[in-house]
Amino acid sequence: MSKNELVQACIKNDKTARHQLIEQHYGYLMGMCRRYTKNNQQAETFFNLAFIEVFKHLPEYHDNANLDEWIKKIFLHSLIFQLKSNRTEYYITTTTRVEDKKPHTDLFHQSDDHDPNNLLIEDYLNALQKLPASFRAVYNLHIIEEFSLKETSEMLEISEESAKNSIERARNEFLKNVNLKMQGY
Amino acid sequence: MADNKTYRIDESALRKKFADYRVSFNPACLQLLESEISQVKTHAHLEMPKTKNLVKFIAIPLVLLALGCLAFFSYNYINNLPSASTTKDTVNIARPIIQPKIETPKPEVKPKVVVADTITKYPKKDTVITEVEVPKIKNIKTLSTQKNSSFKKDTLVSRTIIKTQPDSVKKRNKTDTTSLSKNRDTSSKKKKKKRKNSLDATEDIRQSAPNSADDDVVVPNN
Repeated sequence: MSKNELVQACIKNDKTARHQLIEQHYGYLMGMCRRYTKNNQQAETFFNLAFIEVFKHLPEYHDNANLDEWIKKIFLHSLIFQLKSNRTEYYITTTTRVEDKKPHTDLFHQSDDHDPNNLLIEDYLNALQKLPASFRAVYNLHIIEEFSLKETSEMLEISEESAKNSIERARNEFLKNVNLKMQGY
Repeated sequence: MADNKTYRIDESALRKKFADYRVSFNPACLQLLESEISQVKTHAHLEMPKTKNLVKFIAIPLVLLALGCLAFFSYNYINNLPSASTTKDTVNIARPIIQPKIETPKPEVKPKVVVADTITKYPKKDTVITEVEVPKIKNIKTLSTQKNSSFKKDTLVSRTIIKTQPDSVKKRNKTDTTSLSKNRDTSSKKKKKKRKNSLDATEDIRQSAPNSADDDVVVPNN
């Protein structure tokens, strides 16, 4: 079954076609959800909600468009919306710093044994999930998804200056988390 | 002491890692998702009708209806207008009511009658009355002169009286003869008084100096 046929079957409320569509895109989209959320449980709920949005908007899908990109776009918007809708998590970031709780780590002076680039993807994912929601969103959009600063600020509805500022802070926080992960914390 | 090297996270490598990151499919999530999707009905997207159809079926009938309503109401309005009145073209202008002037008699101002005695009692400050002991005949003369001077004073007063006379004159024109007769009476009285005064003066002189040689002194009658 081609992608267009699959979409048409999903529009007609075909259960098997729907299962097939979910199965095809589950791996990548769930990975994306995990990057934007604080844990796997939240990622699953966000995934379900985002996929419901996909099914809602399936009739708008045109044959010429790339289905994977189209679904990814809907997912991205849905994830940001859900992140922002959780106001207490997104806007009220904890002011307690990592170094207050954990031993001091020098971000730029490390030995060869602690190269931050030699970690597993799961460790990076954990480090990312530990970031505050706003930093996580900014880091994902600008650094991993490679959106420009302007696009990032527009998607998050913040000014470019504040986006820039939060990107820098998110970078530092992420590096700290990675270093802590390397030290076994 | 171990040399410390600077490290930064290679973001491009990290990007690649995340891009290749896939989560193994979990069939349990399908059931959950399926239950949620079944609750949400997929509904076809409502497309706006084309502009041609909009114009054909909505805009033109609406415009026609509006025009019909306008024509109907305007026709009724013109029919229901009040008929032209049969009034004349000319307009009667009301004449101003002219009331005859009622001449109210002006309050009569009585002419001021100044008695010469009263004036003599209060001579003007400027006039200096010189009392010089002179022989009797001379005294008589001086008296006459004094009288003349008094007359002069009278003339001053008379001027004032004359000033008041125009009122009386005007009244004469208005057939008010009473004031005129009064004035005449007052003037004649004055003359009589003056004569009396002069006669009294001569009598005094005669009484005071009966043996004087100059008895035949002529007293001016003024």
